[in-house]
Amino acid sequence: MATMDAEQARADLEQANRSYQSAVHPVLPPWVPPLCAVLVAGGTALVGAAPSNGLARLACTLGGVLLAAAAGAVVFRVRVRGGISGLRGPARESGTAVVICAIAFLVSATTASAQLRWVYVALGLVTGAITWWVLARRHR
Amino acid sequence: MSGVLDDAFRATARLKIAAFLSGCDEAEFRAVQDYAELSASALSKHAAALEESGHLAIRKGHVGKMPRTWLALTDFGRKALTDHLAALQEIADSAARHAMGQASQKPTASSSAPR
Repeated sequence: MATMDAEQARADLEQANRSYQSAVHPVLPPWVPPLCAVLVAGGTALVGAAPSNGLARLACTLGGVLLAAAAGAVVFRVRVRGGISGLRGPARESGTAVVICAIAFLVSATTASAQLRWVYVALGLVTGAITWWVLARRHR
Repeated sequence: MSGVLDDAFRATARLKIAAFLSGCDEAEFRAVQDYAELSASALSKHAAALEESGHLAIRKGHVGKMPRTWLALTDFGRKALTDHLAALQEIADSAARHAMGQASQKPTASSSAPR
């Protein structure tokens, strides 16, 4: 194959990266960032603020996990409805890293003492805000 | 990692299509068309060419009663795209190293001033 000049190579690399990002992070409807922010914030706060009582704690923990998972499901569903299914490449690895961090958080929250409850509520607000900011960038 | 340029991705439209599909398992024809801003016939032509060269798989089906077409990179296509991008990166890096080498060899003002 004929060689290619460096400028063309750089332009093609940038184009390939933009195309990949468009598939991995499609434009989201305006209602998605706030909804996911609320779900993530609520899930985080619920898990961390769970009472000490065994059954109530289990219910709050499960509820929190479901809320956070629902946020991921919303984004996933929007992507599928847009005609894109599955995730490949570096984004898949970073998605796995997010899940691992969430599991680590879950373990620490379920073993935290009652005194730290409000810390996790505050953490919920922070993660909700971050979620909103990250997703809103795709909406623009 | 050494790469190999692939003629299949020479055209910008085909590179866009392949790179878009590299981010997912498969995508609907219309999603790719919307992204690439191509007409249906133009996308069909590019997709057919990529399918013939083994880079792309085209799947036809139905959602309810509506016919649908999905596009996906084959394993060969993914590998070829990875190698192509690696080759592009090598070209860009080589040019950058060459430019840095030339810049460091340029004489400074003090050394070139007559004594």
